[in-house]
Amino acid sequence: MAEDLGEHHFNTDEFARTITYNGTDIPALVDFGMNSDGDNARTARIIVKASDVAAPAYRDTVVISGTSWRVFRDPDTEVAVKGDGQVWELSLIRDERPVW
Amino acid sequence: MNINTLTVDFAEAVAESDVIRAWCQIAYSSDHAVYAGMDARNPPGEDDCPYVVLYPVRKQFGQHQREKFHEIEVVGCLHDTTTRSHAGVANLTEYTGVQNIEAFRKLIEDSIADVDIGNLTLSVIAVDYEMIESFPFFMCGMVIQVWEGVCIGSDPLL
Repeated sequence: MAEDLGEHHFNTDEFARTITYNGTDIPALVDFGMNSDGDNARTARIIVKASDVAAPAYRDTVVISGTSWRVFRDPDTEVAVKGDGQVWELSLIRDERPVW
Repeated sequence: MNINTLTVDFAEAVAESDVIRAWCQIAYSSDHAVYAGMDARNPPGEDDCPYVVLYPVRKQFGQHQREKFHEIEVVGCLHDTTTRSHAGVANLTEYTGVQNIEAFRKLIEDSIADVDIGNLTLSVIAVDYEMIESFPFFMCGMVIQVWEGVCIGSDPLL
C-alpha cells in the first residue's frame, strides 16, 4: 500500500505536484474544484501522505505554485476531512476577506 | 450638513492621522488603509490590514422634525495571529488582537471627534466587536450618530 502511494498516487510526474507544507517540500494531490488552475480559487483540497505530514494542524502553511494557503478548519469539522492512516485530505483557504 | 461631507471629512481625518499611522507602524509595521465605501463581495484582505472603512448607513429627518440624525458606520479591521502570556499567570493566553482592535478603534474615534463639524455633535457612538469568528481578523464596527439641529425658518429637507 505504502509503495503504491509513492509510486503511483503521489508520483509528481503524473497526478501529484510538489507543494511546500510548513516549509517542507512534499508531493500532494491538489484539487481546486471548479477553478482547475487555482488562479481564482480561494478554497482547495489536498491529499498528502501521513508519512509526510504526521499531524496536520489548523492554519498550517501550504504553498502551492508560489501561492500561500492555510489549512482551514470549519467549526463543524475536524482539520483532516479524511484520514485513513495512510493519507490526510485537508481543506485549504487563502485570501481570507471577512465582511463586517 | 450633508452626510457625504461628514463621511468624507471623517475618512480624510482617519487617513491623515499621524497618531493612527504611528500606532499601526509600531503594532503591525504597516500604514493603515482607509476606504470610503467598499465592495462587500470583494472586501479588503490580510494585505490591506490594518484598515478602516466608512460609509453612510442611515439618515433621519423630516418637516415635522426639529433635528436631523446622520448615521455613519466606521469599521476597523486588524490581522493578528499572535498571542501573549501574562507574567505570573501561567494559565492565561491572551490573543493580542483583542486589546489591539479596541486601541485601534479608540484612535479612529479620537480622529473623528477632532473633525470640525460646527454645531453638530456626535450624539451616540454604538460599538460592536467581532473578536473570534473571523480569526485571525479582529474587527469592530462603530455606528456614529451625528445630531444636527434644524434652525427655525430653515428647510429641514435641505
